Amino acid sequence: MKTLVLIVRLLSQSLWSIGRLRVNPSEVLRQYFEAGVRSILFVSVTMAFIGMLGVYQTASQMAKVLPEFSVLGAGVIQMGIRELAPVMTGLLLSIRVGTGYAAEIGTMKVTDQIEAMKLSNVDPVEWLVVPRLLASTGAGLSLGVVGAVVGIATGMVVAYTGFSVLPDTYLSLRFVRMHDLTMGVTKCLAMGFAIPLVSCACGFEAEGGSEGVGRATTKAVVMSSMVVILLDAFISVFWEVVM
Amino acid sequence: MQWVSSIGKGTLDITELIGGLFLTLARVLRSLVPPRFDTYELRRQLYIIGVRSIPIVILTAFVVGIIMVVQTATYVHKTGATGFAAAVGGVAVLSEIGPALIGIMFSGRVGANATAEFGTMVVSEQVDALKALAIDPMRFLVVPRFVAIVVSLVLLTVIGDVFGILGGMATSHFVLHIDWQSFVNALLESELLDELLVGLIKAATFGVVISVVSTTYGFGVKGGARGVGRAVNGCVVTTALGIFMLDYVITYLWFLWGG
Repeated sequence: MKTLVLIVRLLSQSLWSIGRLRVNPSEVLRQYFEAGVRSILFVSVTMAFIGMLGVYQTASQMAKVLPEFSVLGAGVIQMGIRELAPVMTGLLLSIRVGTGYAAEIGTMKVTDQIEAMKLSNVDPVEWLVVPRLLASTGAGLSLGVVGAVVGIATGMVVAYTGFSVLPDTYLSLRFVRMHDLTMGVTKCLAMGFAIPLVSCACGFEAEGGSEGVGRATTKAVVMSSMVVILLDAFISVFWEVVM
Repeated sequence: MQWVSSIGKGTLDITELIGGLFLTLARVLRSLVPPRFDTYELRRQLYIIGVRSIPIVILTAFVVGIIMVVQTATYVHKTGATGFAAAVGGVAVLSEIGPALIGIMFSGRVGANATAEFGTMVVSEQVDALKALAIDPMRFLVVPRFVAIVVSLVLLTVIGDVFGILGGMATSHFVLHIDWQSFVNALLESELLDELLVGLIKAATFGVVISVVSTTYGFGVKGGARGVGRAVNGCVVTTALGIFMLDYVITYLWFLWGG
């Protein structure tokens, strides 16, 4: 509950800072490099395996209801764009970036660096949270795109080698509508936005040496993965029922 | 020339990590035969790790069940194949998404926690103190946790499966307007036991991954609070990679050998 209040406070303070354009562009770029560019390898390798898994599982289900695999690619690509790529990238981002933020800010907190910032009249939210918030939102979207491309590509290899679906047949966008694309993009942006808020809040709450930092980091990864899954469910239901 | 040395350093780091992981696994297995470890600690860990993870597993599984069925909505509306919702909602939850996502959540709650605890003990020299008292940290700290993690994850996956299917069932009733009876029928027609079995094999494997990775990172911590934070980060990243890689390997082998 206390964490929830802190998250809301961080959100309002960050939006207030962004609204007044109190943003440090070079710090945003540095954080984007840390969160986005340096996660590419991790996200690509994991999404490569998820793409292959997705094709295997979809094909095995499809074999029961359909005579052949001509819609395998179209189905996997649609599912990838609207569901698998955003939620998996979100989880990977919460694992890599979320724990990183909580560990960094938690270490600063227990070594009294946050207090030192306040004493020097530097706003910790403006200096620490805002750049991470913007960088992670951008990273969420770009890693989502990278993840979707990698997953679809490795899925294509499995579809060809395992189920003899030609790449031409596999790479079909006929199921993908604007609706799916907006859903995927919204999910990526929402998750990229929520993860730093949750994990920074956990970092700010850390107290008591290395044990406190460990606890904050653990709490950050659990809470941010939970937020990712809940956001995914909420956006899916919202898009399906309301729109 | 800097990139040459960075390639070399990267390769060395990765081989060191993989070697360390297998070394930890070998040590844990060695301590399991004959099974000599602290049973009091095992019971305590089973409670902390297993029982107290139940709420988060139920919540994750329920939401995942909802998501899976909502995602099939377009196909169901297009083809009228209401059984497809049940097949995807049930099968995907049992054999694939259930174990993988519960494993990820579990690695966040339990694996990261184990790394943080071991790391803190290393940094504050408590592990050295144990060794000085002739207590084997492997038998006292690691093996009880290893057993507790593997057993809990398998049992939690069963609980998660039930709630995942309930979530899917509720969604298909309230959102897709499929009645309960036909959902259950379609579910029973699919090869439910096979999917459950492969899901449990996966869960046990992920349990091994989570505990080995967290032990390796926890005991490798250097340098105070900053080191503990970095170790936790490394632990969850490596666990996620390991979980999805092994997930694919198990699925592939399952298909190969008569799936």
